[in-house]
Amino acid sequence: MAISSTNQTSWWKRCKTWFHRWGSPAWFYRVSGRLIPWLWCGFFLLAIPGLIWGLFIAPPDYLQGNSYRIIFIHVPSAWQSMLIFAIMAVLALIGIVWRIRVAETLAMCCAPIGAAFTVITLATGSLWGKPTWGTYWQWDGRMTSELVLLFLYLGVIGLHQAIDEPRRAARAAGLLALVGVVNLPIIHYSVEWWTTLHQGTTVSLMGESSIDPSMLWPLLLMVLAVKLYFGANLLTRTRNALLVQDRDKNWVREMVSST
Amino acid sequence: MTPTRKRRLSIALFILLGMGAATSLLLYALGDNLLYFQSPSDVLSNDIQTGQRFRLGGMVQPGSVQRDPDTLAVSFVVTDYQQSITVNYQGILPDLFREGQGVITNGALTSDGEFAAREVLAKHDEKYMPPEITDALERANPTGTAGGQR
Amino acid sequence: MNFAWLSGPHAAYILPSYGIALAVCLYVALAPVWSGNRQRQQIKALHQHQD
Repeated sequence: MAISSTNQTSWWKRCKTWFHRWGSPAWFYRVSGRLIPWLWCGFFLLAIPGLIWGLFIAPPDYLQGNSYRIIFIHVPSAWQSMLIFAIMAVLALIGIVWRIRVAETLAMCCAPIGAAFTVITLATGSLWGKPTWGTYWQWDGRMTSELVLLFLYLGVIGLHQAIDEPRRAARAAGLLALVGVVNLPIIHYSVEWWTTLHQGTTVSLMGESSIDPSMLWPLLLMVLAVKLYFGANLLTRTRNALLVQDRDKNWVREMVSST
Repeated sequence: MTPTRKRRLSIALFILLGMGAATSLLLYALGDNLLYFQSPSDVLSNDIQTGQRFRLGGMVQPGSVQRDPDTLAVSFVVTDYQQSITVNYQGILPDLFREGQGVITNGALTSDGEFAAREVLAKHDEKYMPPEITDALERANPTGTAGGQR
Repeated sequence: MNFAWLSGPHAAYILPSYGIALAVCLYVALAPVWSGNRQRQQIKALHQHQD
């Protein structure tokens, strides 16, 4: 009994130290720098086959013809736009409660990437809507709530830039990110709660997807590729921000003079 | 966890909870106003006045589409398999307008109980299939339209 | 391989979609690389000035 409990404590302690190390900007900068090239490698290995498969190998849809090929970029970026907001909110919560500077910085670096994916989602969805529905834009529940997501991202970015003191700015904007998560279930369930022009969910993690496997595989490749893109991009942005924040610290002095 | 962190965490969760409750109440209060379209059953049970603009959505009843050979006028029946309403429209229909497929029309009821549409949008379902598979499905089940209904 | 749609009517929607996505992704990926390099130079100059 005593042995197992000490084992457990040491395991927990090791986890905790590992986690705490990521809270150190110098450690974060070094390890993330080594991680980024691998993330980019993975991104290209998934995105290039995914794009070729989706655009030129997957069969046309029985009803839409070829315009459905837009989903290979629309669906991955739509999911990513929501996932990034959730990640940003969790990091902001960690920042608010534990005051870990790396978490605050990571949260703030999520916002521009998330906003970019939201713009891509809205633009590609609009371009898909014209040949499919016969309209570029309608104020239905799904489209309106995704547009609200864009405004939330812009609000987080704006609030962060409006406050001069960087840590206070990150916490204030983090609070907005935390509050903004209530929009995520609205986006997801809008097509079930209300009647919408946008169709229901095609791909579900649990249960059967109503998309043919010949179209699902390139979609999944793109979904994973977009995640790696986000990872590489987030780490690059966070490294920059940490370097500027710590410009007078010794680790930056050593880092910069060695390059 | 230190008491300060506990306090911060509970404040953050309290704000989130409050925001969630406020939003759910707001959405609940807005209720049917958030519906993008109404089904024929909704329309017939809600006693909507003639001339009032709203969106009517449903399936285009197979065999109901009638086109005027000289003008762009077209009429079809929108159904939710319980109630149906005849829609009259003058203009170009979207490419994906098909019998047995979803459609959303924007317009108003006329005095004869039909719907005068100013705009017709095709509603797409959540199915994505290659043509060969639908052909095979149709061969196996010639009466139903494959993948046509949600 | 199916290249036929490139000359079909839907290319007018598919190509701009991927064009916008590519442009936004490229900008969002490259902007921090450029600004990071600039910032590193600035910090370096600042340190040399201090020393």
